[in-house]
Amino acid sequence: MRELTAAGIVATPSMPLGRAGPFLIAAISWRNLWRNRLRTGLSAGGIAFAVMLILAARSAQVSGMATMLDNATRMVTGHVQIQNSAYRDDPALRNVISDATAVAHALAQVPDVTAVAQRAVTFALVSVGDRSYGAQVMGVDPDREREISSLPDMLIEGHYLEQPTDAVVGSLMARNLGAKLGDEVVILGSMLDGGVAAMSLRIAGIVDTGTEDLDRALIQVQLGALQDAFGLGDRVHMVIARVDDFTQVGSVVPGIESAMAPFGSNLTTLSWQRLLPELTQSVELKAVSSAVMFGLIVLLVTFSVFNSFMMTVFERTREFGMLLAIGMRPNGIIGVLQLEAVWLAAFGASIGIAVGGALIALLGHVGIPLGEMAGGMLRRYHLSDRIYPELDVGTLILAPLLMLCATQLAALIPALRIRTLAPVDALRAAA
Amino acid sequence: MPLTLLARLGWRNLWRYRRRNLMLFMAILVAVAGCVLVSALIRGYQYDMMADAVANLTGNLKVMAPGYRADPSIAHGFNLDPAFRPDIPADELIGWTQRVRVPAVMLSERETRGISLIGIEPKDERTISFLGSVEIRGDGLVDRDDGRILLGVELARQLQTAVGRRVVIITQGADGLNREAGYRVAGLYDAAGTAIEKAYAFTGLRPLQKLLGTGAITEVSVRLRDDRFSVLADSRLAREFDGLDVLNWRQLEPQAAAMFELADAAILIWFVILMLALAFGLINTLITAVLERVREFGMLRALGMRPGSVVVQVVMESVSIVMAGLVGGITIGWGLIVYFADGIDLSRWSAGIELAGLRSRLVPHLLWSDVVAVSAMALALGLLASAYPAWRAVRIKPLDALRR
Repeated sequence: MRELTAAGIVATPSMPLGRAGPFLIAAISWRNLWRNRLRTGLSAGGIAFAVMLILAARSAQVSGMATMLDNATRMVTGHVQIQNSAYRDDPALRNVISDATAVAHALAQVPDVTAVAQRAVTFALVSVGDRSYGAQVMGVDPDREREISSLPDMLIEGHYLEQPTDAVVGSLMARNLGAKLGDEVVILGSMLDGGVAAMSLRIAGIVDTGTEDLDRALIQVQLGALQDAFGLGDRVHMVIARVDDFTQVGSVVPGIESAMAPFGSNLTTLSWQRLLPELTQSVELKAVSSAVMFGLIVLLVTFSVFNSFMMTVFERTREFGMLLAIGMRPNGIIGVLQLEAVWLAAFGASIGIAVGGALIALLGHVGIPLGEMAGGMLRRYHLSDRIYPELDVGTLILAPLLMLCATQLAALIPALRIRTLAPVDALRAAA
Repeated sequence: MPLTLLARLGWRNLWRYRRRNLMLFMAILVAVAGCVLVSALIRGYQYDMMADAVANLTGNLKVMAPGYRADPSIAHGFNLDPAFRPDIPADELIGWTQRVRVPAVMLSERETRGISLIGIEPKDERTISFLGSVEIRGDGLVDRDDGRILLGVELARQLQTAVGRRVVIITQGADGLNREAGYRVAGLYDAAGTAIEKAYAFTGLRPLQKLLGTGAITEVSVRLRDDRFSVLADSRLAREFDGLDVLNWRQLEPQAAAMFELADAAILIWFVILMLALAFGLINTLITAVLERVREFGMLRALGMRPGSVVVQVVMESVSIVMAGLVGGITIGWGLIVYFADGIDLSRWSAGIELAGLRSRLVPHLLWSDVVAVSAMALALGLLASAYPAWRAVRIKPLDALRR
C-alpha cells in the first residue's frame, strides 16, 4: 500500500484495475481528459459557450419579463381585482360591487395583501370648451391610489387629485381637447338610475404614462365626487389589491376568495394573469421561442462533443485493448469515459457559469439599453428602456444539467463500441 | 500540382474518415437548417406585421395636412381635386383612397365610447385596407353616399347594439361646433384583433362631409405592390401635394417599424450564435484531421508537394464538408418551410400574439438574401476554421514527420 496523496488517490500496484477505487478512476479520467488539451479545450469551450449563452439570455429575459410585469401591474391593474362577475365581459356602470367599503376592509385583512384601493369607472363624454371626446372616467381614492398605482408619479404637469373638483387627464387627451392646466372640464354621462350625470371639474394635473391607450382616454377624479355625480352611493366597479410578491399571487387568491365569500356569489377574484392575459401569453410565447433556440445550440454543442469522443475512442483503441487484456471489464472502460464526459461537462459548465455570471453581474450594474427605436414600443409594453438582469437560479441549475445529460449521451454512443472490441485486434490496431 | 488531383485527394480523404465527417456534416446541416427555418419564421412575422400595419388604414404612404397628426380634427383637412389620380405607374400601385377621419363619441341606448369615425369610398377602401379582407355581417357600406355606419364586432358588443339598430354620433364640425347625428348600423366587421374593432367606425365619405359642413378630406392613403416603390412614390406625391405632409408607414406606425427593425437584428443574432456554436466542433474536427495525418503530410511533402498545395488540400476538405452541409441544410430547412406552408398555429396564445403583432397562423417566408447570408457565414466559418489546421500542416517538416 503506497501513501495517500493529497488528491485522495490510492494507488496500489496489487489492486486489479477492474476493482480500482472510485478516487483512482476519477483521477485517471481527469488526467485522460487533458491528454489532448486542444480538443478538450475546444469541447469545453463549446459547452461553456452554450451554458453562458443560455444563462445570460434566460436571465436577461426573466428579469426583463419581471420588470415588465411589475411595471404593468403597477400602472393601473394591480395584482388582484375584485369585480362584479359580469363586469369583465360587460364593463357597464350597472355591474357594480355593493358595500364597497366593507369589501375593501375585508380584503385588507387577508394575509400578504399589502395595499387596497377602490375604483369606480364609467365611460362618459368629456368636454373642454366646445371640444368633446369619449373617455374612461375613473374615480379613485388619491391616498390609496398612491399605494397601488404608479400613475400618480407620472404627472408631467400640476398635482394629483387634492380636491373633489380636481381632475387628472392623460397627455394625449389634453392635447386632443386643446386643454391646459386649470381649464374647466365637463363630464356628461348617465347615472345608475338612467338620469343625466354631470360633473364640472378643473384640470389639476396631466399624466404621461407612455401607454397611448391610457394617455388618450383616461381621466381620473375623486371617487366620492364620481359616486355622487353618477348616483353610485357606496358602490364601486373594482377593489384592487397589491400583494407581497406578485409572482406568488396564485397562493393568495384562495384566501381572498374565502374572505369575499360573505359578500355573495356575484363577486369574482381576478389575478393579474387573468387581467392581463396578453402579457401572460407573451411570456409563454417568449419561453417557447427561446426553448427552440437553446435546443438548437445544445444540439450543435452535443455534436461537437460526440465527435471529439468518437475521435478519442478511435485513437485509444490500443490502450483499451491493453486494459481489456489485463482484465478490465468493458463496462469499466465505458465508466471511465463517461466520467471523462462528466469532468468535461463540469469544467465547461464552470467556465460558462463564471463568464455568464460575470456578464450578468456587469449588465445588472450598467443595464441593457434597449435602443432609441425600440423605446416607444417598449413603453407601450410597459417596459423601462433598460433591463437590469439578475442571475436566474432556475437556469443556473438547468443549463449545466442539460449540458451534462447531453455530453453523457454524446460520450456513451461512441463508448459503446468498446463492448464489441476484441483485445487482440485492438492491441494490433494502428496507434 | 493540378487542382483536379488535389480535388480527388480531398474527396477520398473525406471518405476515409466517414463517421467523423458525417457527424460534422450533420452539425452543419442542423445549424444551417435551423438558420433557414428560424429566419423564415422571423421574416414571416416581420412581413405579416408590415402588411397588417399597412392594411390598418395606413397604406405604404399617406398624405395629410401638417397639423393633423398633432390635432386630428377636420380643421386640419385639405381639399382634393376631384380629378386627382396619383402619378404612380399602374404596375407599382395596388390602389389609393381618400378619407375623412375624425374623433367622435358614439352613444347607443346603453353605452358611450370614444372612437375614430372614418368617411370612406367603400369601393376604393376595399382594394387597399383590411376592410377588403374581413368578414362583414349585414350589408356593409354600398357607396360613398351611404349614410349608414359600419362598426367592429367588439364595439357593437360593448355598445350592446346590432345591425339595423341606431347609434348617435357626436363630433366636432368644421366650424368648431359640435354636431350630433343618428346613424343606422349597416353592418359589423370582424377584424383580427379587438383593438381595431373597438377603434374604427366607417360611414360614407359624402354624408360625413355634409355632417361636418365641409368638402375637405383629412387623408389620402396609397397602397403599393411593394414597399420598395415607396421612395419614388413619396417624392411624386410630395410634388403633387405641395405644403402637405407625405408620410410612409414607418413614420405613421413607429412601433411596428421598430419591431420590423428588431426582427432584422434578431435574425442576425441568431445566425451569429448558431455559427459560433458550430465553430467549436468544426475547429476541433479539422485540427484532429490534420494532426492525425502528420506522417501522411510529411510523406506528401517529401514526395514534392508544395506547402501551398497542402494548404489548398486542408482548406478544400473543410470547405467541401461545409458545402455539403450547406446544401443539405438548406434543402432540409426549405423542406420544413414547405411542411409549415399552412402556418404554425399560435391561436392558443391569441391575446399574446395580438400584443406582439403576430397573426394566429405564423407562415414562414423564406428570403433568398437570408439563404445567401447563411451560406456566406458558413463558408467564411469553414475557411476561418481551417486556417489554424492549415498553418499546422504547412509547418510539418517532412523528415521529422516521417521519423515519427
